[in-house]
Amino acid sequence: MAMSGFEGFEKRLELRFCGDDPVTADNNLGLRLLGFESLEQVLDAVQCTVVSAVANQYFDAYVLSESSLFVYPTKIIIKTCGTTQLLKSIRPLIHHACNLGLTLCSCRYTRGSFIFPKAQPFPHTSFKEEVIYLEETLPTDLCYRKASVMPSKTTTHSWHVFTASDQSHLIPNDMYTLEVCMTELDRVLARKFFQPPGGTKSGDIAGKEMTKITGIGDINPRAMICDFAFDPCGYSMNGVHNDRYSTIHVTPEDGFSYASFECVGSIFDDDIEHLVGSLRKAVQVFRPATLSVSTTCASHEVWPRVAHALEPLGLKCRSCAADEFPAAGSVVFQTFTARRK
Amino acid sequence: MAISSLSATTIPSLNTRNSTSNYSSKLSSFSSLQFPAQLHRLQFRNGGVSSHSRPRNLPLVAAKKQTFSTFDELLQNSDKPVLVDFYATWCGPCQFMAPILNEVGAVLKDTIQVVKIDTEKYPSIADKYKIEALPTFIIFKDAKPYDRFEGALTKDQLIQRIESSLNVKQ
Repeated sequence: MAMSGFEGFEKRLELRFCGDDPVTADNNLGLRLLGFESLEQVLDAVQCTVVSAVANQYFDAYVLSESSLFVYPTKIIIKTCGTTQLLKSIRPLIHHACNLGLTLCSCRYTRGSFIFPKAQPFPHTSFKEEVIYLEETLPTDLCYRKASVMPSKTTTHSWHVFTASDQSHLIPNDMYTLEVCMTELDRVLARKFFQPPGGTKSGDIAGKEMTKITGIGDINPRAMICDFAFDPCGYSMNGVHNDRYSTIHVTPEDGFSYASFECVGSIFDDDIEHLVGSLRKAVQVFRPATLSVSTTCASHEVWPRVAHALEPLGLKCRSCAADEFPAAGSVVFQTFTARRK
Repeated sequence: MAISSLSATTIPSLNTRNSTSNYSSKLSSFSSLQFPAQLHRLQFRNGGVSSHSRPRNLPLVAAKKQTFSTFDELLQNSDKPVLVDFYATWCGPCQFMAPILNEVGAVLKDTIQVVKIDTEKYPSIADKYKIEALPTFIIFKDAKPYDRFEGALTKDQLIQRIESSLNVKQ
């Protein structure tokens, strides 16, 4: 393990807003009315920039210099890696949303364990500091709060969750989120995420090539992909299909290699089995030695499919921890390692 | 014809055109028609405009034809390839592109003409080119679609994309 390097493990923040004013139903755009200038201010606070973006009638998706941002009418999701101070986005977002007549009704913050925890700036120096910061920043009407560190068999791989909700948004809806974190990537496969030597191509052209040669484009063929290759290595993509997003971020360097895959769906989806196929394809792109999956869902039909998807790939489930959180529902944290041959 | 006319609220060039007076009065009502917000959802849902989303009080063929021939005329009359940016005012990534397009238009002014089309104001044009993701860029060469890409880009990426598209395919 390297002494220091780029931190692949992301911090993820999901904020949900509601409008008091039924007038907002007229254009249904909600947070999308924030406008790019306001978003830039928010990203500035977090120290990220936009490298690629696309929108459809449901939401806006941005690929950032350090991960991704998704803006829906009533929810915003920011996922950042490296040493970004993600929680600093909360105050400006609440402020800008307020100008649009929207108030914060729930918040979810999740992350794995940092590979280089000492390199993180305040308040990300420890989960305790992050929770204190969240407690101080969130408005008091988000009165239902819970923080928990979900364990695995090793202390180096835990899943940290903080959620807060107001009175009316305690019960989660039908959407689930899958957050997959992969480490110790197969070296040969990871090399595909380095720009070829002898002239670096433009980030989006190189990104498209990586999407194709790695098979990432086949994970969900129906999705529109917004991809970007970093210099000299690294890759990010957002997949957009109707109101669903998926996102992949890769730090390929040996010694601290990392890849994340995140996707959403509904428990009412007819093709929930499709999830098994997508998860398998995503993991096969990287063939990691260790991986964790955190499933956030109102009910319990999604997380069992995860083990079912991964075990045929030679990944054995080593731990499974479950807990309930306000507004989020159940969070199930499973870790897997490749079976020794 | 000024490029900006296409992205303006009205279609001033049409008013000065030698059309029948009946025709132009119907068209001016088209430009002041307010589309309800839900329309843009109906338009994209199946990748095209469903018939009940068109304004009922206009002769459909006439309005469509005139809008097309305005855009088509721009394409025909251009001596350079045309880069068309299909956007919507509510689209964040499109706002991100606005200053970038100005810069790229200036840098590549001898190579390409940059035109912006508001997909809300010109749904029939957006429908013709099956615009779903925003922004969508189509490079027209000799008045025909030549290259197409979706999503916002930085300035250098866009310049590189335009140049390689126009050079390689020759």
